[in-house]
Amino acid sequence: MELVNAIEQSAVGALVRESLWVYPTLLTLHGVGLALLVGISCAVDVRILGFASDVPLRPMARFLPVMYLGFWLNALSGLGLLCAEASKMLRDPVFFVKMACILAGTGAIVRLNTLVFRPQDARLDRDTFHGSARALALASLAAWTLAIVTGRLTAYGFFR
Amino acid sequence: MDINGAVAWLQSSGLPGYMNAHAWAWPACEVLHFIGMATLLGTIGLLDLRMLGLARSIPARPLHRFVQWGLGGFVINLVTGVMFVAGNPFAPLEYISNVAFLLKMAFLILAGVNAGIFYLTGVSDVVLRLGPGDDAPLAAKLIGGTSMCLWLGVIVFGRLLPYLGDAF
Repeated sequence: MELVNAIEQSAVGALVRESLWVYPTLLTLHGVGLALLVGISCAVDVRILGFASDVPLRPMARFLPVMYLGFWLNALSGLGLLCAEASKMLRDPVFFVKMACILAGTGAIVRLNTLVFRPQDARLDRDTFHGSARALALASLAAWTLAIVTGRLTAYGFFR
Repeated sequence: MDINGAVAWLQSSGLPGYMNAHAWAWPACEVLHFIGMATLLGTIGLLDLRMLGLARSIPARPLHRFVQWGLGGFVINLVTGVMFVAGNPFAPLEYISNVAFLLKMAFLILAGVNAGIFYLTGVSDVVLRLGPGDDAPLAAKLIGGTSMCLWLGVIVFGRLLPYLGDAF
């Protein structure tokens, strides 16, 4: 727990906590990043699951940089927010469930990227996916939903 | 019905009591509000980005089908949003006097007007005919860019509700 206190007392932690505008700005960026990351990831997921199957899937890869922008916005803003509230977050089991969900969601994205967007097979564009791609899409939808649920709950500390 | 009439109706509806009597009601609505937000931006944003020139090899008409998911997200957020205003432990008027709330509503209305312009002036007809590789006309690019900015503004001022004003 010494580490937790050290993080919270660090220059970054103090700045985020004490400045009038840094915390709200990080929180706002965290909301924008969430919408970009989860929104686009889930749109790709439902396409893989068969919705709007006349949208060619491979060109949807062009939307992924916007999704990654959301990911990095949230990784960085989240790190700043964590420094300010280390003692609150790192003692909350819900926070670690959120981190596990993000790990799972990110893993699903990376795996789908190699499975769906990499292969140079034009048939992929027309087919609805079966097997592992569908399972990954479902896992991604579930992981992001649970990440939002647990992320919201860390503000309440129900299980702390 | 004016604003005060709407507030009085909300207060007499039993919603405020319900929101405050159940510890889970507020966080549950928040979770849904965030899911609705991501759904809305992630789907309407795809069409906006396509009009702006990204992923031009995707024909616009099938991509437009994602907009119905965005509409679903909007309805979720409208319902949960009313719950927040009704369930404010102080008074719904707390929101109405909050500058972040007023800005959020202004951006929301402008986003609605922007969508109205898209569908009612014939721009959507041109866009829906865009095939693989077709570039959207300037009017559509302006509408798509405006849409992205306005929805991001809605998120920004929604997030700033407790900081610019003192609502949640």
